[in-house]
Order: sequence, then structure tokens, then C-alpha cells
Amino acid sequence: MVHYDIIVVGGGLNSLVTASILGKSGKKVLVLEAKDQVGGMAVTAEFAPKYKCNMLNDTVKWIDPRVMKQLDLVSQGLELVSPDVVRIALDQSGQHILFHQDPNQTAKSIANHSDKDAKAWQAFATYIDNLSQFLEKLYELTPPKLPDLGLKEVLSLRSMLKPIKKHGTRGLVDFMRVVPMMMPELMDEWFESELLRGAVSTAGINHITLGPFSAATGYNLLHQHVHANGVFHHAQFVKGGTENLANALLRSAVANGVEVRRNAVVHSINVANAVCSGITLNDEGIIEAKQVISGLDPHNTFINLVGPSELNPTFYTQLRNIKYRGSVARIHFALNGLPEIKGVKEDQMNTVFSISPSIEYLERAADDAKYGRIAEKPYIEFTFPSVSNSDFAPKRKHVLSATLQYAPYHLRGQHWSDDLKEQLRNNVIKTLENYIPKISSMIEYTSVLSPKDLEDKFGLTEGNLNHGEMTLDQFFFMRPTISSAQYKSPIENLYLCGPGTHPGGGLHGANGYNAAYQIIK
Amino acid sequence: MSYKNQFMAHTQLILSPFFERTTKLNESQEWRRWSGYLAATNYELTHENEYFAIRTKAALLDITPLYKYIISGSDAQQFLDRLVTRNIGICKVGQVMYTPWCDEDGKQIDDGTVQRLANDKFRITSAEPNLEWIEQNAAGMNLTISDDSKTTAALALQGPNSRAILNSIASDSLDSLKFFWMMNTQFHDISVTISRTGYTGDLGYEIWMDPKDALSVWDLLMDKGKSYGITPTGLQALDMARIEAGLILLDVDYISARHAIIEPRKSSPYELGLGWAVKMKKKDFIGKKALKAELLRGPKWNLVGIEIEWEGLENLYRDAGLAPGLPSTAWRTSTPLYHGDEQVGYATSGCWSPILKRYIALAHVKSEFSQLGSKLKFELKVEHFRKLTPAKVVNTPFFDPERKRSCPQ
Repeated sequence: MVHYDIIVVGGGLNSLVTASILGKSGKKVLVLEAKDQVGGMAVTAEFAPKYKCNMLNDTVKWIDPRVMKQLDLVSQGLELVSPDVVRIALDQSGQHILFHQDPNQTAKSIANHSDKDAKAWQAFATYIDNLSQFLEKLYELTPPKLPDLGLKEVLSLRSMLKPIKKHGTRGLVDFMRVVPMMMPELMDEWFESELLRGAVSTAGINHITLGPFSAATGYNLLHQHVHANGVFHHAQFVKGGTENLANALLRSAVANGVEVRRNAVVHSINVANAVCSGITLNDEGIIEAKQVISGLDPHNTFINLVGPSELNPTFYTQLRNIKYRGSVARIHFALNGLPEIKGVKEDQMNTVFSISPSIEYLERAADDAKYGRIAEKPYIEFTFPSVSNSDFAPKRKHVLSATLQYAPYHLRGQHWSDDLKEQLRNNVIKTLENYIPKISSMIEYTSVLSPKDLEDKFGLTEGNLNHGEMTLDQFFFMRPTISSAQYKSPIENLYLCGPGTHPGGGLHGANGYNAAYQIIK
Repeated sequence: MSYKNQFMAHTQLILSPFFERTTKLNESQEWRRWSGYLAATNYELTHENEYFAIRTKAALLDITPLYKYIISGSDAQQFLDRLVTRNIGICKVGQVMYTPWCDEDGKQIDDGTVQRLANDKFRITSAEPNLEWIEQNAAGMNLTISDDSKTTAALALQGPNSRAILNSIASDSLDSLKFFWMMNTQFHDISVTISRTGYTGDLGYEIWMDPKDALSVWDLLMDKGKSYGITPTGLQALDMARIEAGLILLDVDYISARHAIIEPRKSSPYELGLGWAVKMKKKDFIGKKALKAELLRGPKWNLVGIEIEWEGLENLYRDAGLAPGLPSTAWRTSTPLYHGDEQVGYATSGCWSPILKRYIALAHVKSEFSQLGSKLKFELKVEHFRKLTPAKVVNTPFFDPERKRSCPQ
């Protein structure tokens, strides 16, 4: 029998990052992926005959530069494409705001709505970039163990203060002010145009259940702009589909001697007397290892695979109190052609479109979720991945992939059903029709993924794409819980490396990187 | 002269299924709150006759206010083994075990008895509500938990004559029922469960029944027990008996780890003299890791019995020109204990034991001063002035008659 130093449960991005780094350090590592494809939330697959889509994420906001460098992902075949226009905030009359890589160009586009806003844009983009740098430093750290903070841990937090050198204490004060802010307050300080205020605020609500009028959406906005090089609404497409990010990581892991098994369903993580000894597979029985690292969310890791009776009561309570409550749904349309959007040139179709006409519009969509309903007028972000990837659809045909909020996992008085998914689809089509009048006649096939589907198909508890809400009470030393924020858990030899840990969700791999170095340490 | 009981007050407190009888018998109309119930303090104007009933006749106490939970299902035993510190795996059907339980830091939450009603069915009793704690720790296990607090009524029949009274009523003889075992039997056509348990340290039994049978059972016991001197007994007499028996009381002798507001207020079973009930050899249980560490380094505190020596006490009173003053009931005021000039502990409850003719108390004492025979000084107020009088660490139970556990008689 082969003896492993480390078993990584789950084959998502962070799992692969951790596995690869540990493999590189000389450990014997086994990755177990339940599905026939690694990548977790970076999966590209056929959703209708001859139509492919990125199941969950069409773009990558940022990848941890340490991961890029350490695992040399470029030489493993990762190609990131960032279009000149990173996002178009649609306007019903065709006066869209185009977010360019060059802020001056963006300002020109904003000028159609407000000269004042256009003039403020460059400063705003710089402001957000500066504040994001505070997070960048924070994201490289393993959170301290509170409340019993040792001197060693205090010293390890020094690097957090680096951005102060550059931006002064004023920068730190601004950072601490913006993080807990809500979007309308931040926007009041900068902009007057309804469309721009809505379009900027979408960054604050990305993949969370809260609306823009919720405290600390400022934190989520900054989180989306870490390593964005000053480009607001920074968006990178992975050439060939998001799965190629996973493929590059897989190649790196294999090159580092990591063994990866697909279709290997972990039945349990084996713990006795608060010590983890390995895992049991559904089919093949027990595999022992010195350490087990889980890339799954805390709920799946501890409550489902370890089991509550092996958890101490406080930790169990903390785990149960983690907020997941996903409210993001995905819809993929197979289209018989590339639709025309008034005011958008054909060479600008390779971008991210957002339907977010005002902050109030977004908040109303969130209100529906608050009361357990699907949004009647949802916030929609969509792309045409087939524009840059010709193999995503048959010739001259196209794919429209939409992410929409809010469609809550927890519904009032009903459960997710095909009827409700049909209703959701109709709400999306109705909303899209305001901008693409002919859309409904172009649809050949639709695939709807409700939060329940995300839970069932992707192992995301309550359909939460971040493995736990990105809120301040689940941030840094409180993520995933105050007793397990160092990638360790109260169970000896059992570690976490997924988005449920600091620094949270996204396809960046920072969690996996930090976790690996906690183990090597 | 006596007055007809016309007690008609509206109360938010719960009335026990025995209340219809107890309220008429309660000449003192002194009541206490016990777990939200109205519970008799004394039935007579003083508790003395009731105390002596426990030790020389038979005392009948309504113990319905105890919290009771039924745990049943295929994982029930495994669950209780995780919850409590004793080894429930070796508890046979019909057996009862006294056990503490702890939080994960090994600090005691509560203590009570676990009755194995069937292979997969247990009843656990506790001083405080524990349903949330039980439910939380049972997550993922195949069992059901039900709050039995109001669905089972209970009486304690304690004292040397208790066995004879029960034998005169029950369809089965209790002669072979061993200490901490239980049996099902009939009182005429009423099904009851009788456990040989109690909180007095004497020969005694607890009778568990359906609340609808409560009054019939009470009447039967009072009727058949009359010639044996059966005496309805309140909590004041019980408090003295339990101190003599060296049995601790939650919120008096220790504070539950769940609502101690500072760490030093919490106690481990080792610190409460319950180390014998912590079974390190069994599989993981809540608090095991912390308790193991504590066992290795040795507990800081020890709960011991102390005796306040007569001579010193008598001298202090004599100096004040008084006859020796003794408490007539059990007290519950924390009282300092010194070794030299240093306070090394505190007594949490004590009483003058009428049967032993000794002044006794239960006390928390720093381990290094807690060995048997250790000389301490007990703080005493004589005529408004604080004095110190010699006391020493003695064995508990203070009172431990052979009849408590002898079987057959």
C-alpha cells in the first residue's frame, strides 16, 4: 500500500494549488476529486449538444501573483485575455457606460451621463486601487489566532502596514472607512449618474446575498479589485474556457509529482479522539495519510465528512452559524446567432455586460431575496463566451452565459422546482429583452442552475460560490470560524484550503497558497 | 388551632401533579422555587421532624421538578458515552449511573443520573435544563430526544422504613433490588418504575410514574406508610440530609460551566471530588482532552468535607458570654477557610448534623491543603465579629449507614 503524506479532498483550484506546492516541496500528495473533471468552480462543459459554457465563472477577477509565479502557470499553458473594454453597463437608450482598461476612455464614456462624474473617474479608480492594496497585503497573511495573540503573531502582521508607507495613514483611515461602507454612501461621495452608481455598485454585491444598501459591501467591492492594476471592473478571460485555469494547475501538480484521482468520492474524513488519520473512499475503503487537507467548504468538510459527533460542541456551533445562503443562479442560453445590442460594436461583444441601471434597481432585486422570492427584475451579468472561443458553439451560433442575482437558496413557502426555474428563466428573458429585443426568438436551448443545483452538482453548501458569505463577520481571523482561521482546524492533522478560508472566494488560489505554507511551516 | 387551607393565589409557577395533596399538607405554607415549580420548603412549621423522618422513618418527597430527558435510538448509548464522563457502555438494562458531564474544556455543566430503561433507551436527569446541550451534541446521530420533565412524575421515598412501605404495596418484592438499580412493578393496577436511588445517603427509593397516576400513588404511599411513620418532607430537611451524604448541589456547591461568567467559577469533576466518575479509558467524550491534561498536572482544587471542631467553637462563644451557636438549618453562604493567614478555600454549604452531632460542611480547598486531616480555620461570626475557629478535612460521606447499599437487607 502506498503511504501518502497528504491527501487533498476535492480537486478545485485551491486544492490543486495546495497539492502542487506541497508536491513541489517533496511531499507525497494524493488529490481526490469526486467528479470526472478537476477544477471545481472553474469548469467548462457542454450544456446542450454542441454548446459549451463555463459553468460558473466566465471571468477571473484576479489570480494571486504568488501562485502564478510559484507554479509558473504561464508555462503550463495558462493564457489570460483581458479585453480593452472590460465591462459594459447597459443603458436602455443605448448610452452605455464602457469600462475600459484606460480610465480616460472610461471617463469619456461616463461623460455622456455626467461631466462631473467623468472628471471624478480617474481619481476614483486610483482611490479604489490604493485601498485594494491594503487587502493585497492582508491576503498574503495567515490570520492571527485571536483572542490569544502572541508577540510572534503580532510581528507576523507587520507587512499589513506596508501600504501605509505608500499611502500614508490617510490611506489606512480611508481603507477602514470604506470597508464597512454600503454602496450608496460610497457613491454619494463620488458620483451622481444613476447608471454609473449602479454599475460601480455591482462590484460590491458580486456573488453575495446582500444588496448594495447593506453595510460592508465596500469590503466586497475592494475584494473584487485586488491585483486589478488600477482597472476598475477588471476582467480576465481564460483562453479556451475557465477550465484551462484548472488544467494549468493540474499540469503543474502532476509535474510536481502529485497523484490525482478522479471519480473518487470521499465518504468520510476519519477522525478519532480529535486526530485525523485519513479518509474513506466510497468504493475503495480507507486511505491513510499524515495530513488531510480539504478544499471543500467547512460544512461539507466537518459536518458531512467528519461528522458532528467528532466535533467539539463549540466548534460545531460555530460551523453551524457560518452564513452560506447563496442567491446566485446561472443561466446558459444556446443562441442561433450573435444578438445585436444597440450601441455596442461587434468587436466589443467579448466583454462582460451588466444590467444594473441604478443602485435602487439592485436593492429591489435583493429585497426579493430577503423575503424568500426570486428577483422579478434581477441584476444580470452576462457574456458571450463563444465570441472568443469558437468551439463553444456551432458555426455562427452563440452562447449567452448569465449570472443573476438574486435567486435565494432559502425560499419562503416553496422549494426549488422546475416551475420556479422556468419562472426565473422568464424573468431573465424579460429583463434581457429591454436591451436585446429579439432574444427570446434566438434561444434554442436553456440551462438553468439554481442555488440548489449549485449545491447538488458542485458541492456548494446552500449554493454559495464563496464557500461562505463575504461579510465582515466572516472575514480574516473569523473565516471560516474564529477557532479555525489558520487553515488548521481543532482536529489535529486536518486542514482547510478552500474559499471558506481567508481570503475568501474567487478563482485566485490565495487560500490554497497560504494553506500550503501553513503545512510546510 | 389550625386553619383550613384556602391557598388560592394565582401563580406563574408550575404546580406538580402532587400539588393537590401537598398544598393541603403544607402547614407552614412555605414554598420554594425549584426548576419553575412550587416546591415545599417544610410541611411542618420547622423541618426537624422531616429531617428525622429521613434518618429514622420514611420521608416522602415530591421530586417531579427534576429535569428528565429520554434518549432512545440505536446511537443512544454511543451518544451518552460522548456526553457524560462515565462509561455508559457497561451500564446494564435496569441499572442507574450517577455521572457528571462537562463542556469541551472539561468544566462541569451539570450532574445527574442515567437510567438504562432498555438496550436503546435511557433517561437522564439533571438539575438544570439541558435539552439544548443534548440536542446540539446529538447532531448526526440516530436517536430521538424527548423532554420527559413533565411527562413523568416522581417521588422520593427515603429512610430506613422505605423498603417495608414499598413491599407492602408493590406487586414485586424490593428485597433484591440493589443500590443504583431499578425495576418495573405495579402498585395495584398502576405501573411504576422504582429505582434504588436518592439524594439523602440513606436507604431510599425513587418512584417514577405517569403524572395521571400521581395522586393515586401518593395516596397509596401515605395510607400504607402511615404505620411506618411516613412523613411528607420538604427541601430544608433534604438539604441537611444531602450534606450529610456529601452530595453536591448545582448552583450551591458549584456553578455550571455554561453560565459561569468568569473562568475561575468553573470547576472540573476532579475539582469537585468526582474524579472517580471520569473514565479516561473510554473513547473520546466531551472534555476528555482537557480532563486528561488536568489529571496529569493535578487539579488545583478539591471539594472535601470539613468538620468545624466543637471545642474551638464553644470557646469563641464562651468568650462572648454565649452558649454555642449552631445553625438550625443548612446554610449556603460561601464561607472562607484559612491556613495560617492565607485563605486556601471556602465552604459552600454546611449544617449541624443532628444525627452525627457534628458541625459539617462541604468546601472547595486548594489541593495542597485538602488532604485528609488537614487543619484549617473556618470563619465564623460570633456576636457580629468575625472569628476563626479550627476545622479539619474529613471523609465524606459524613453519614453513610450500611443500609444505604446493603442487599438483601
